[in-house]
Parts: sequence; structure tokens; C-alpha cells
Amino acid sequence: MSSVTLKGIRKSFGGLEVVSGVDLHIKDQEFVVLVGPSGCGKTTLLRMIAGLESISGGELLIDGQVMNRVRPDERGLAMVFQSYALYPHMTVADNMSFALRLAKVSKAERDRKVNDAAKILQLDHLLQRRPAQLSGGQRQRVAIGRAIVRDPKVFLFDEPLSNLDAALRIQMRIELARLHKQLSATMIYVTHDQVEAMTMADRIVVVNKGVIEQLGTPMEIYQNPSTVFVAGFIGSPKMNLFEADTALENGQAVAILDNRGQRIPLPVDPPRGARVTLGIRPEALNVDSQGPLGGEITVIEHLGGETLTYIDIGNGKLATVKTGEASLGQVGDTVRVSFPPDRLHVFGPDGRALLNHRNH
Amino acid sequence: MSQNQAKTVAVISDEGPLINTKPLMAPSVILLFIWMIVPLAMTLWFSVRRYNLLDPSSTSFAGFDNYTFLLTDPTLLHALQNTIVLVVGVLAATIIFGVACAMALDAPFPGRGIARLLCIAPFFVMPTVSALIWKNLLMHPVNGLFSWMLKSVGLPAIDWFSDYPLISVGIIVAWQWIPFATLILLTSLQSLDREQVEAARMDGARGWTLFTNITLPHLYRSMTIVVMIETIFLLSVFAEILVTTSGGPGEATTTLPFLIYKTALLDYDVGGASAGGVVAIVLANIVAFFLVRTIAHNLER
Repeated sequence: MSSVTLKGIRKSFGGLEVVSGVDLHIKDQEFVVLVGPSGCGKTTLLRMIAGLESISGGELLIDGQVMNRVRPDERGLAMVFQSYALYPHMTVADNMSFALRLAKVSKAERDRKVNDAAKILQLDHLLQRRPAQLSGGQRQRVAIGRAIVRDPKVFLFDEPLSNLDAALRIQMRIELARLHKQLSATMIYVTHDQVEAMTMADRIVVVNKGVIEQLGTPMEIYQNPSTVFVAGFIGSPKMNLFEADTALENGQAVAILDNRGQRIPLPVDPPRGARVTLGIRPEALNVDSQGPLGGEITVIEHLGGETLTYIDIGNGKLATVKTGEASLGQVGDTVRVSFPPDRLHVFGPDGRALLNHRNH
Repeated sequence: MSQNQAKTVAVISDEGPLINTKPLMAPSVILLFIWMIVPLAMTLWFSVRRYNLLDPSSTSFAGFDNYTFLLTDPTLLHALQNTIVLVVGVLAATIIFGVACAMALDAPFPGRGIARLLCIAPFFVMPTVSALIWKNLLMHPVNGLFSWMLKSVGLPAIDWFSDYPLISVGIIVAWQWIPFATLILLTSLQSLDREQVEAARMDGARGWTLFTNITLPHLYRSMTIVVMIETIFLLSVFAEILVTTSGGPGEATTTLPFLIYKTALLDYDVGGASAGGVVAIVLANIVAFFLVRTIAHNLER
């Protein structure tokens, strides 16, 4: 059993507060991904959990015990670093058994644990090599092996895939997900890549400017972003976001887009005259000659299985439409698009969502 | 057309550079070669001559007499011993104190910039000047700072240069070279990956275990560089000895370079000094051979 609880965790460097009051409970065997743009405080949060950074305020509990002042090696955690941080002068086996050697574990026990971890990660044949003789993916696996050998309560990952090339990253993503199942361990994973967050997480924690923006399962967050920031950050291609004024016409609240004054009926009643932001996922837009949005196709991107069409809906504002293999038309064509009313997200002037979507 | 051009370029790049670079390099290569070969040839020539400056007109071929005389003279063996003790001792001292200083200067503390500057300063003092300072201000048995310190705690003063001559010279030379080691090792410390240290901390290494398991191995490479460069200079230490002990008392601080100086300019025996020079060249080459081998091995890792 290993849960991690953060209670009002804060961190300031001098006068600058980078983490301002984070509350989070991570359950046993859960895979939680902290995701956010660079400089949002997610790495600092992870380093505070690891004990590499002191905690300015709040409480950190691991398995119900306060860990604020416990030394990093005594918290029962293992961390995988972005640069892998392997010890270059040691062989793979020595790298993996270093912590055990310091903990005065017997040689036989050490060898057994290293061999077990090497088997899980398919590193058996590389145990006597040095890190310099390994490829990026192999180094990554050694770094994970070093964590597994310690049999930690919680695994911490600090952007571990960002130094790998695209193909390897996808492969490692799958391996990490498999590993999580196999070890049934609690894992906390930090990344700026929302794809990694979506694909691996049991729960995603979207962090922005030192606070948690939203917390939920990947699909909850995708279908029901609670703020404009989350809406724009999660999902690829990015959600279409349009700024608009609101008005009451014939008893129906409508949004009047800034671009060409297109009118879109709103399912909610925003405060009188409020500015709102409308969000529509690119895959929710369909060609419809009666649609409220329209304009000239400026760019078409063929990605093979999917096609992205960018439509100028006025003043250079582009709407992205995602379709299958076929595109909406040719560059220069004028098309109109519509969307199912339940795929419209409305955010108020404070950036918070004005209505909750049911899960599709 | 463009395909043809591409082909031509490809062919040329297969054969090497577009122009013949040998004539361009020749002047510097020839100059350096002359620079090296003329003194070497003259040394070899003089080493087989009977040639004393007290009677410069009567020179003659001596064969291996100079070498026989030198190699059967216990002075040479003693000088070789002194040279090796001095070089090895100073190397050990500079590495140990260099690592200590570098570790201290790498940690953040107020006034670190000034401390770094002061720590590097001895390197910029001329050898003769530093030797004079140590001889007259620090190690002097009557007026020196050390004897004053010993006296003030009630201990007898030490006459450094007569009681511990080689150690005293070694201390002076080490004082000059510790800054160099510190500088190289400090830059190396600064390049130690922060995440690696953090990973080691999470693995439970701290203090001494962190130092021996992570920091020290990281420094090996720059240590070999320090050893290589310092060896070149330490083999030819001369000014410090001339200024402080003049090779004495007796032959206690006569190293190989000082022996050559003594033979040539105090005994006026050019032939014998040249033979000593040849021995020094052989010694330096033996050292260089092993150094380059170990260092090449070390740098490959």
C-alpha cells in the first residue's frame, strides 16, 4: 500500500512563489501524470515529493506519514530523471545495484534483484556495458531498472521520454504502461507532452502557474475541460477557441463572434453582456451548407489517416477541422461548417467553463 | 550539367582536400623540426667530446667516457632519486590539496569570488619571487613566520632548509602548483551533472560516499590531465632550488636539472653536462611513454 497525499503544498524561491497550495491525493497503484507547460511548477512539485527540494509550506504524506523533513533516500521513492543521470563510470549492473550496495544488501541478494529487473526490461545482455556504450532507449531502460531494483513505494518520472526520438518515445510509452501493470506500483509522472498524459495516465493533473487547473481521468479532462487553459492544452490538434460577445435575441442567448459577427446560439445563459470564449474540438466540426461558421480554406494538412483543414473564419482567425482521409475541398474553396450543439464548450470571462458536459 | 558537377565534387572529396596542403604546412613543420633537432644534435655531439670551459681550446673525442663517468658517479643516482621524490611528492600534494580546494570553492559561501581569486593567485607569482618569500619571510629560522608561530606556542624553531631541505623545496613548488590543479579540478567539478548527484542522493549516497562514488570518479579524467601537464614542468624545476638551497646541503636537493647546471656552469664541464642532458631526455621520454599510455587509456573511457 503506498499512497501519496499533498496538503496545501507551497514552494517559493525568494519572493517568487512557483507552487501555490497544491492539494492532491494519489491512491495506491495509481498512475498519475502531472502535465503543464514549462515553468508551471510541475517539476518542482515532483522534486518536493522526492525530497530534492525543500517544502516551503504544507504537508507531504506518504502512506499517511509526514515526510516533509525525511531524507530523499528514506522516503522509499525512486526517481527516473530526464537526462537518465546514469553513473558513467559504472557498468549497467553497478548502476542498478548502487543503492542496494549503499544500503549494505548482500551481494547475492543484489545480483538476484538486478537480474530480475534486467529480465523485466530486457537488459540481460547489457549488464556489463557502460552507459556510454548504450543507445538512448537502453539508457532509459537502465534508469528505470535502477528504480525497479530499489523496490520503491512510489516511482517518480521527470519527463523521462523527452530525450528520445519520436518512434522510440511511442515504444517506451507502451512499455511504461505495461510496466505499471506488471509491477502494480504507484507512479507519478511529469511531462509537458499532453499525448503522454492522455495515453498513460489513470488520472491527469493539469498544472498551470503553480496551481492545479483540473484533475480527472484523461477522457473526463478531454470531454469536459474546466478552464480555457485546459481546453487549449489537452488535445491535438488544439481545440478551436473563439472569443465572442453575448446578447439576448428573441429570448435566446447567442454568442456574436468577433471575427465576422457570426451568431451561435448558446445552451447556457451567461451574465448580461459578458465576454465568453467558445471552444469546439476540430473533430466536432462537419461540413454543412447551413452551418454558422464559414470561410475560405487556407491550408490543408494531409497526415495520411486524418486531414486537417484550416478555414479562415474572418480577420485571419483560423478554425481547424479534422476529418478522415478525405479533405473538405481545395485550398481557396469556401466552405461552411456546423457542429452538434452538445460539442460546444462555453467559458466565461474568468476562463471557467459555464456548463458541464455529460460524458459521451 | 548539375549532375555532372555533383559527380566531380564527389570524386574530389573522395581523394581528399581540393588543394595540396603539404607545401602550406611545410614552413612551420621545418622550423619546428630545426628548433628541435639542432639543440638535440649539439647536446649529443658535446656529450661525446672532452670539452671543459676552463681550457676550451683543447677539445677532443671522448667516446663514452663522459657517460661512463656520469653513470658510475653516485651523484647521478642521488639526483635521479631526488627528482623522482620531488615530482611524485609535489604531484600527490597538488592533487590532494587541489581536490580539497576545488571542493571548498565549488560550494556556495559569501565572498566565494574573492576566495577563488586568492586561491588562484600563487600561480601568477614568479618562481624566484615565491622561493624568496618562502625562504626569507616564512621558513627563515630566526625571522620567519613559521618559527614565530612555533615559538609563540613554546616549541623550538625549525631550520627548514637544513633539516628538511627536499621537503621545504617541495612545499614551495607545491604551493605554486596547487592553484593550477584547483583551477582544472574546479572547472571539472562544475561540469558534474546535477541530476547525477541528485540520483545518487536518492540512492542514499551522501557526504563521503557521495564523494568517493560519484565526485571522485568524475574527476579522474582531469586529474590525469593535471598529472601530465605538471609532470612536464616539475621535471625541470630549477629556480626554487637555486634560490633557496643551491642544491644543498650536500646534495640533498640536487635534482637532475640542477646537476646539469652544476656540471656545466660551476664545474665548466660541457661534455659531462651534455651527457647528463641526454640522460634527462631519456628519462623524460620514459615518463612520457607511460604517461601518454595511461592517459590515452583513461581518456578513452
